Amino acid sequence: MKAWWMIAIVAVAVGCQESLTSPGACPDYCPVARLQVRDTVLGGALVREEWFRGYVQADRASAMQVASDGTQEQSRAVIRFFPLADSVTVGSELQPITAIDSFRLRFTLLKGRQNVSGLEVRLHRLPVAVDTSWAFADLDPFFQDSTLLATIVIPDSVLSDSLTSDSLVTVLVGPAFPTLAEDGQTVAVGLAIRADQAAYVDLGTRQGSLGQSALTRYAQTDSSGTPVSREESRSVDFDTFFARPVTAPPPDAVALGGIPSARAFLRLTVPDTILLRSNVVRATLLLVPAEPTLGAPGDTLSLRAFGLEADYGPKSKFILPPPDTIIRGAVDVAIGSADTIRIDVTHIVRPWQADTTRPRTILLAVVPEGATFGEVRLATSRSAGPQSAIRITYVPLFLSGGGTP
Amino acid sequence: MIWRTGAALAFLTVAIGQPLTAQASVYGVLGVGFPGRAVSVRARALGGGLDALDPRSAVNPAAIAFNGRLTVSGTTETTSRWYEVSGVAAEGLRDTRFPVAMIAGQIQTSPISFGVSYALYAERSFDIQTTDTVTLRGTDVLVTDRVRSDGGITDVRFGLAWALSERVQLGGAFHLLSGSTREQLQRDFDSPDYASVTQRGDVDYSGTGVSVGVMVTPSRRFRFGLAARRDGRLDVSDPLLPVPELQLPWTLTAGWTYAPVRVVRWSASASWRSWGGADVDPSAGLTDQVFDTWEVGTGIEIGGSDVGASRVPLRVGFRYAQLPFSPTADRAREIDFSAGTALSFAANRAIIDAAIERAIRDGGGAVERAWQLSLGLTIRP
Repeated sequence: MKAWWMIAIVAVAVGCQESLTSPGACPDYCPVARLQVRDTVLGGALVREEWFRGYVQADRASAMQVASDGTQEQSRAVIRFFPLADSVTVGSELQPITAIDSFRLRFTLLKGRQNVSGLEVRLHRLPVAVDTSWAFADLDPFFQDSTLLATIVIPDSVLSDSLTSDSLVTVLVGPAFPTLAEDGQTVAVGLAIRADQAAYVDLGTRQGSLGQSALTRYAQTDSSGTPVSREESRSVDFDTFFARPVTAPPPDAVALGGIPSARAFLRLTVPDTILLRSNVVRATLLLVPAEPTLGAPGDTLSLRAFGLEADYGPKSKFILPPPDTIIRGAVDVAIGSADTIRIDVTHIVRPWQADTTRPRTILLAVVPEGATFGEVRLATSRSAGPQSAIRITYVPLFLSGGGTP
Repeated sequence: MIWRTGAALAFLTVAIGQPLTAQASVYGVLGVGFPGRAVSVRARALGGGLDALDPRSAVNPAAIAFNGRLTVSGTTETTSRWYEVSGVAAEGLRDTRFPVAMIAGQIQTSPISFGVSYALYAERSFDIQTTDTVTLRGTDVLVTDRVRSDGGITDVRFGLAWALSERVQLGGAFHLLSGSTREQLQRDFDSPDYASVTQRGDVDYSGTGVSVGVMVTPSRRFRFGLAARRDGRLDVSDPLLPVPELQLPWTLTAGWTYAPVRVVRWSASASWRSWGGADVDPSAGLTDQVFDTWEVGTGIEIGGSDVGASRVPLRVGFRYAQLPFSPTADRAREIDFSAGTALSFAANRAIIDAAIERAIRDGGGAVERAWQLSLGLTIRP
């Protein structure tokens, strides 16, 4: 028994849980060594920049941007619905439509410029032949008073700079589309906006997830001498938006955003003393605009940075950032601003330390792509004036075993 | 039954105790670490009074001669402590380590005995957390730093002892100083803009030393021993210790044991170490003050199976030791009050020793108190 009693003592003694972490009493009772944080701006880090356009067309975007009519920054939305039927079902029989009571059109408002007075959406009748081959100027004849179908006043209370979802509804009289039969029961409309100040609204599309437009027809037919009402709805067959052409970017600049959307590829050189012998704790791109950001007045562009799995030019596959870093790798840029754009790229640079084979290239894009004609144009290493740079805060490796990025 | 018990104890002592090394003292942050004690549990219970004469301690190589037959021993030590430095207090600190192990025995029937031992020469285990404010990109950011070091400098001794006669024994040993520490530096920023950093590294130590000793037993009730040890330069590749090389000290130890009656033994030892000549270059960044140190201890043992009195001896001791490193001109010191006992089995073929110590450490702006429970297992197959 004594032996087992002693065993118990030993077990208790050597099995005690350790509790070691204690507050340091510095400097006397702390190790001399401390991690040092350094911060540097690498002015010549961007060595080769390229940009390519054509990633997302306007008719494939998740939103349509409509900007003020009569200003330089101007865009119009175009929507064509699937054809309506030329007859309705009464009981088990098809009956021809005898009269159209009305049309109801619903559009989804995503966001717009706030604090604008007199903002209204003007709805025009368009030829059903409209398609992506048209240009902004081709629409001019159809955005006249003679084609005006309705005006929808937008109260400021429904507008927000951030994405939301609200409906704009208007009801048109039966004869609103006099060529409906000749057009194969197809309806196409165009939307422009007008306000006392420059403004814009973003509308939902069939590609987006926040709600697309819809058309409902209220019609009558005759059933054995009795008038019968029927309603029929159609979703969008085609929608897009057209913007007034903007001037081309300077030849030594890179562009991103716009329609079709453009992406920029920034290739960087970062000294090995930082990439291989330190832990990067924060990295920020300092992007110098070549000219003020283009776009709808009052709008902001969401600029996002991505790392690449491999760099093989415009079709390089980018890496989706982890969910907890998505917000950190994005920045909002106000239209008209020429201030330096600061965007966090820590989540891109730190993997370069763990995997030296990764291309040291950063992809920049305006998101959602193709949903705005806004465009950011950045100075490059070829530009004569101030150039973009990267600011890195890092901790040099202190222990020979290395760090954990 | 006895052997199964012994096997179980050996397993618990070695398998559980061995992987754990931890901070022995707040003073372990200083210099090359907190000085280890290459002594057995019995010597601990006697306040270190037996250091110069104990065959199960790795101090005097001449004492190896008293391991008449093959002896395997090991110890484990659990510490519970608190400290206070400049208003910073930490309590509830607990750790367990494995400070000494030895195998020794006579080479057949020759007068020569051998002994191989492992002991902690200096312990560099600590885990310290501090907070500070640094200015980053023009903004003050609160940071939390954690510095961890786990391990220390170990002393592996290869010793031989020669029994010239029953009254005189000589010994010599070669010491291989090695060991490593696993170090980790961590910094967390109190800002989502900055990512946390963790850096790890392994640090190795290497050095050598030699020691000689003599033990003389002029009468049946009196024995004394002398030992001298010279350690060389310690190569350090430790970023946390910004000196690449450090001259280790001379150690001179003397002690005696006296038995006024058969069942009572009084022992006392003293050691001097020339840490003051550690030859540290202040420009290298090691700002600690370094002192020569004295260590004296004494203890009384009553009874014990080896004198045929009882299976359970009673041991008490007192020890005073100066510590070599201090952040100030105030030299740090330690006072230990100790007590202990032992149980022997199978005609002394298995011995379990136990000791408890109350350590009182002061100086250099720090105050520390600790309870230390040591258990040792000795097997003589």
